Amino acid sequence: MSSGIDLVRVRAGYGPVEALHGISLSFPLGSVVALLGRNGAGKTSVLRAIDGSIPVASGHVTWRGRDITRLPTHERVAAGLTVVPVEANVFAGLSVAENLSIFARGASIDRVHAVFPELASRGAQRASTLSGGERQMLALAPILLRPGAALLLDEVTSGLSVGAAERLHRVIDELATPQRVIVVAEQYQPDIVRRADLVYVLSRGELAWAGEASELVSGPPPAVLI
Amino acid sequence: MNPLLEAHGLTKRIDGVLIVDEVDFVARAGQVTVIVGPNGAGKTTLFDCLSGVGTPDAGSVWHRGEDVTALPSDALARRGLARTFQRSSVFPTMTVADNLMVAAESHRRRGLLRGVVGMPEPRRLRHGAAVREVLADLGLTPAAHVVAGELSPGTLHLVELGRALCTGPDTLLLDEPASGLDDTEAEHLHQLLHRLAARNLAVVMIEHDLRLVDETADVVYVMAAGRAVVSGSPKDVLRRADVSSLLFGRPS
Amino acid sequence: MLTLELALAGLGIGSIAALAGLGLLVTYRFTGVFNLAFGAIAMATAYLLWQQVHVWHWPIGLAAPLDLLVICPLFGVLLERSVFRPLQRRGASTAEQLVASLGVLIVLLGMATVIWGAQARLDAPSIVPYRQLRLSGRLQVPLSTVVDLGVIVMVGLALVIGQHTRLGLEVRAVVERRSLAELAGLRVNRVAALGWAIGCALAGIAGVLMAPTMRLQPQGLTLVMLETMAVVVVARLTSPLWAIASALLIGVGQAELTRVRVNGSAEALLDALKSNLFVVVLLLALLMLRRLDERAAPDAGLAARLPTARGRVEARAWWLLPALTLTVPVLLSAQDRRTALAVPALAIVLVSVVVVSGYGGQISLGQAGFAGLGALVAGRLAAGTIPGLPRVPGALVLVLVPLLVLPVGLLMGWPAIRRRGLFLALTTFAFAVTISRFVFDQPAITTGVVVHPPDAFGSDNNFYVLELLCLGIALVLVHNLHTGRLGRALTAVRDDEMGAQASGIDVRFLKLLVLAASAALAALGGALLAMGSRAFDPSAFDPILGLIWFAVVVVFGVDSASGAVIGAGMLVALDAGAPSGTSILVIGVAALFLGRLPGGLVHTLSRLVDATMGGRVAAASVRVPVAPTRLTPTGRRALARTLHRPSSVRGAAP
Repeated sequence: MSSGIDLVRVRAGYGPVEALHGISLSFPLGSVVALLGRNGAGKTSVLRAIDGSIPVASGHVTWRGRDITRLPTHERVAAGLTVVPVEANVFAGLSVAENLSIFARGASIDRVHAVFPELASRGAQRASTLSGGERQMLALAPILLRPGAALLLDEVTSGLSVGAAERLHRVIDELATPQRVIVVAEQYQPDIVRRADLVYVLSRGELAWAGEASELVSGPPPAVLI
Repeated sequence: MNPLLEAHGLTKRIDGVLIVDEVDFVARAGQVTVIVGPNGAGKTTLFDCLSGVGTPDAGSVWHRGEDVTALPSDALARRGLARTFQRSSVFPTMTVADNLMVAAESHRRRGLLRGVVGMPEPRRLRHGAAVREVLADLGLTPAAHVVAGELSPGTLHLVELGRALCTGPDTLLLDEPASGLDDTEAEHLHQLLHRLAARNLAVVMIEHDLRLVDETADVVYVMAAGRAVVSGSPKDVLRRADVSSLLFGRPS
Repeated sequence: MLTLELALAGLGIGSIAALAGLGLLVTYRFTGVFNLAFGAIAMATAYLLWQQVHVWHWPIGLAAPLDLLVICPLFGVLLERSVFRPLQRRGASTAEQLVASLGVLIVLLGMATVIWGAQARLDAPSIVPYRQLRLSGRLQVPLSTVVDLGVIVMVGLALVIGQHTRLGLEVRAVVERRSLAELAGLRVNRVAALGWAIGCALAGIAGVLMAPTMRLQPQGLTLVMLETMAVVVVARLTSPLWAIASALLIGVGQAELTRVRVNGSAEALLDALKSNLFVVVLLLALLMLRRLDERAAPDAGLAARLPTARGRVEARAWWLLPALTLTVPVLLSAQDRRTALAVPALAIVLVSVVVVSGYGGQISLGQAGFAGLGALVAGRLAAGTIPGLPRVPGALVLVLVPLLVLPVGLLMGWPAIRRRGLFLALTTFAFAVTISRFVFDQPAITTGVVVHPPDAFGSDNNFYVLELLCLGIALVLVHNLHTGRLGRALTAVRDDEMGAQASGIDVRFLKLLVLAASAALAALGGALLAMGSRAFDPSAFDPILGLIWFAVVVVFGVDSASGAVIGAGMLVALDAGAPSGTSILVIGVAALFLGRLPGGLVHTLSRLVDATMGGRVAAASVRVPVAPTRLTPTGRRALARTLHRPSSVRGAAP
């Protein structure tokens, strides 16, 4: 397993509120890592510390051995991070086609229509008029169009119908290559956990449990999940 | 059984796109009616038309035998038709108990201004007991004094349901109430919905998890591309090949 | 022929309005901020050019390109970096961004007045030589109008075409949702800075083209934005074509109106209409246009919500500060005490802003109108000059004033509550301007109105006590409005309108109630203000003051009644003790730092106090100790690389 994303004693938070209290995590290339925990446990904060949308007060974030702790977000994206945030993840006032064009940055958008044909007829519609599930499909466009070497996915199946969620899981399976690391944050999603090579359970901004998915699924789940 | 909520020929366009297309719908007291369908089928928009959040372009909505098509959602809530939202609409700066209290208090408008001049609410209008009961029903009692903005999405859905219950409804429209809940919590929720139906409420909900639908629903509506394509008992509807390909397969 | 000549003259006025309106529209589309400072930037650029050409004797061919192509864009970049970037990064509300742009306006206006004086100058340098172009016969049109129209067409075309380019799309994405644009890999800082650079350059161009046809005067040019707002609203903040067409139409209409003559009492009204057609159109458009919404605004739903302390009630101890503010006057000399009479009155007016904006979550920039109406009604009630009403004695006036102004609040509120966010703010402002122009500025209505304190409270001491009493009652009512059943319902509406409605709350009724209550309160405050100064002075209720009052409340904390009282004390003290204009300048500068004061001064202060006094305790209470990390062998291997080994790690059986 080669070096992917590493967090070393990271403290980070929103203004005066600290959400991560010196957490250390490792996300090796070639793995799918599930980040579990209840709301407020710090899953989203971990992802946001990695993508740079919240400032890291102390500690380091490295990506493929390079310290990116102080790098602006768009440079992290250029370095291979692809992010689907949990909310505010589409441009609501822009049309679906315009959203796709922003996400695609020149790439062909056929891939989105192949996986989510529901969006094909919606091109001219404003994203704010999409249904919850369609919005989520649109939000997933970045990993379909320009998947980087690190995918950070925050509660991506929420609102998707069973069929659409299954298609997304197939996409994730295809994208799980040795050169890539996929981080999925979920409250608890058996389908995702089953796919994970490594599971971290967070609680109150700290690591509560780390291990293999099978160990989590077979044994009694850690108390912090319930 | 007595139909509490009926809709005839509901049609709604958004930005020129046909989202709900001539849907007929009935929800009866004492039954759990579930709407299933792929993303973008128009389920939530149908809810919007039924609950007065958006006015339909054509068709009519009837509640307890009266035409309520033009009524706004607050008026509908006060006459007993309550709904929840898929994306939480809980009041984030208020405690869970206050969230419910707002709904309990609002089903009559009179006496609202008494508080301004410092007069206390008359005893018969105090709603603390009703709110406590709903909190207990939903297992939210420990969270009663937590500010809602700090809750997990699953819990927020419960608060939202609690708020709807506090308006004293006879008809409940629930938009994916189980999303964000784990299996045990979802199980509890569905037991609760059954209890509500047993109290002669009409419970209508949108749900993706077909196992839960199978266990809970009395009537299932399948929506696709804005139309209600099939309806009937879950046993009949969910076994149909065309329905399962609609729900699981790739849309053509 | 006369009609055509007038139409051409109107085209001149209209083209100026179109130019400014288009600039404002472009700025809004490019930055997401409704830039109240647009006129001020235009004014400052025109002055800068004047300074360069007339004082430093630079050739205009050098100075104008330097100003428009270098200095204005650089100023835009500076604004983005220092004022608006911090605001937008933390997802600030429409209200905060409005107030920040108001801060820019105030600071620029203050600086211009200090440097160049308040007097008007007629020698603004023109980049277009003065020439009349003969069309046919006696019909002539100034070259400057033709140039204005040319610039308008070019900017309009550029905007229409630009929206469909890649850059145009990126700009819209950044304006719409900055954080996501960043995650999509856009260089958001660069795009936002570009938006501001273009916006400010357009303001500069508008200023330089407008100044020669108008007088060069700090206030005058700055307030041109009033006129241009109408155009931008008719354009629904989106369509450049509508902006241009409506500006030209209103300009021509205004010119044609000069031919209309009536006799009798309607004459004054018509005169007011003639010179204020833009304002009337603004108000009518806001009240009557259907489907006005903030398409280009960053997440309209969220932005309408004002920043408040989440679920926090002001601690009792905080009332020490306002109590102190109100005690100080007792210790002052008789002369200063007279000045201090304004404090409780102004406090009531500011509290009325807290009610509508802090508790009700709606931006109201129109409180000056209600306050002025209160003062006017008080004067005329006491004198018995309101038709149909007898002369009202003494303190009864203070009871009747709020009751009489309340229906006016309802009247404005009824159509206005359909609007939200920015459009509601503009509607209230347009209302205040209309009241000011059509009521306060009408000699027939306001001449000879004197306002006296009620007889029993004639002395300054007694009147101060009466004011405190009124303020006390107002604060208690406002407190009740904020707590109990009504308070819960209001908070619900502010937090989530759709959820509130689904819970059975009549949202329209509550909004209307809040608007009307706040109008009544403002009227009471206005009446007391006028009684303290013993006169009705229209300039004391200028609409611009309404903007400044709103800024004060936002700066001190929009849902903080105690902050409103302190703010009133500070405004009055600075007005009395410091050179004129200082108080406004202080507020303007504070508004520039709003990006770093989430929730306003009072909340920031109380957070600071919390942090220094009980800070560690608070942080510790947030951080409940968790069980030691459990690592399975896989987990241990995975974490081995991250240097750190948690001290509390113990192995767990798989």
